[in-house]
Amino acid sequence: MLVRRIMNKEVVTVSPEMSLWEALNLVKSKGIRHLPVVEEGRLVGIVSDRDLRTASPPFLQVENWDIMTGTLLKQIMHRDVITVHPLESIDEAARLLYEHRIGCLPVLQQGTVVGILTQSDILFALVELMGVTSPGTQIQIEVPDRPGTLADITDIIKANGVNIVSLLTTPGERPAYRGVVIRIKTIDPRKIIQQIKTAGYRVLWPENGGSQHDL
Amino acid sequence: MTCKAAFVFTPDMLKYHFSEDHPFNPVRLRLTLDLLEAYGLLEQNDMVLPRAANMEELLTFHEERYLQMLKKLSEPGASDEGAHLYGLGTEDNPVFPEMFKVGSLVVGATVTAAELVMEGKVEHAINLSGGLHHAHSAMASGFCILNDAVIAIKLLQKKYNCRVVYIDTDAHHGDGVQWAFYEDPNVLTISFHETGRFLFPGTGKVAEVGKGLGYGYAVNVPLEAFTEDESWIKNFREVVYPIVKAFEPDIIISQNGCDGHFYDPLTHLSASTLTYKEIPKIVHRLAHEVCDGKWVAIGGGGYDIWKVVPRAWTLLWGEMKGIKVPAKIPEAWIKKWSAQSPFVLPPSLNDDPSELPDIPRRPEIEEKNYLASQRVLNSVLPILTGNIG
Repeated sequence: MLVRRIMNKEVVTVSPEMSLWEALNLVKSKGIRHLPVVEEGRLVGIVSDRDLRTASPPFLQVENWDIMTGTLLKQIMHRDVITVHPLESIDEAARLLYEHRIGCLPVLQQGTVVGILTQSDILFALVELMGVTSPGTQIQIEVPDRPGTLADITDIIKANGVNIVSLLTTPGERPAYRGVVIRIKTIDPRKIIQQIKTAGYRVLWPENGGSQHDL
Repeated sequence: MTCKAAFVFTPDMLKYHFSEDHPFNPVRLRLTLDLLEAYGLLEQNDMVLPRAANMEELLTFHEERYLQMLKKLSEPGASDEGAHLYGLGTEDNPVFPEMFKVGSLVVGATVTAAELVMEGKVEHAINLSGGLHHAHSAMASGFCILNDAVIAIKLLQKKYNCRVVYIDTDAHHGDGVQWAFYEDPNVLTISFHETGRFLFPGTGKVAEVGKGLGYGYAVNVPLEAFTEDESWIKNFREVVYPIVKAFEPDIIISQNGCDGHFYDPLTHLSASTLTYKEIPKIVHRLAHEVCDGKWVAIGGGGYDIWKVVPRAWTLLWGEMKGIKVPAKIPEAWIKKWSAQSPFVLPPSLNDDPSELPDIPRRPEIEEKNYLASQRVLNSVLPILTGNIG
């Protein structure tokens, strides 16, 4: 999945000449947390709501009013902006957010801001990918990390005439094994589970003792 | 206290039968009726014949193209082309003879039950063939073709302007009913079920609380696999009482799937028949406290048709009638069915404590369930009582 699919296309950008006061009001009224700063169509910086609050004086007294209106974004913005391209993959974007400990990535195409991607957008994409979009039963299977294991499992499901709703593989709990998490469109997975076990794979299923395994 | 209750039934509903070895087996109704008769709990006066739901009623929820497909498939020799798009002709929901007609009859029986209660002919009414809570507006799902509960609730809204509480204690999440009223503040859906982490349909998370105007009017308590009586009953009582009281319904509809029993082959909950004795008791009491006793009970899942369903639903009907049913199962019933049963039939309505499974993970299961019900109460109760922020 690519960044362009989940980014926000309607980006609120601001000028470096905007005052601290205006910017604070803007993030509040729009309910947003990041403002890319654009000059003559080019991205020159970024400010977050936290940057704005940090720059604001603690109490709004008369003498502080000048600070609020006199401080311009160009004085407080971050100039080294980390950006992504709309064709970047979501996992790469997520890695950038995580490694740089930042809250958003402006999406740049040919120097122009075409979108913005926030941590929440990534989380939402994850919810969509892992969440339940259609009724089904989830089975977790541990498979040796070698070619053909996934095909064995999907063959069994196919032979039972059952549809697969979603499929995810994970690094697995043990080395040299991988986890396969499949949602299948049936209320009665007993036959399929039995056949997967018979084919030699370990199916993780609710356990009443020990500790509940997970993939 | 004995109550006036109607048992809505006709043998034609036993034709809701997908195939010979399908787990949703109407023999369970025969076994239940027979056990009720052996106990002397079914009187001629209790029995009411249902009418079939008509097209207009079905269309209050289901899409026309879906109903047309069901009709087409009901004709002998019909091709099942395109059926898969509607969840039909699948392993779960195979095509069976007269499926449209039989499905409409099951829906009609729940509608009949609701009408009997609203017209004041009885205080309570039951349709054990109903409870087909997974059916969606244009999709058969999880053994359910037409959604009797949704259509009955639509009728209750249209004809009687009712506020309805729907309480679902099937081991599977009551998704079809929840989504049908997800944005409706006049229908409160409550579902207790095994967590969807493994089990079908996968939804029914605590965070599913309704949407738009219906925000706060969907309640979900997912129970951990291997949940036992004590935890289930305690959380049910603590959540359902305050929530239903705050909502002030005109009528309660309860879905009584009994597939959370530890014998059930499709799920992983560990209830005994005690849960199926206590849940109807709580619902019954609530109905008299909040809506002049107006209570419609419908069936649901239950895949141990020999050892569980007849006992659980005998307890349900006994509660509805306000009759204390002796625990000892009548000899005549055991004698009649033993030859056909692949299992030894239990001698008592109560499960023998020595039969109950040992659950070493009990403390962590109970903790998780308790947290779920507390989260539900914290998020929904302030909305229902109007005490937000």
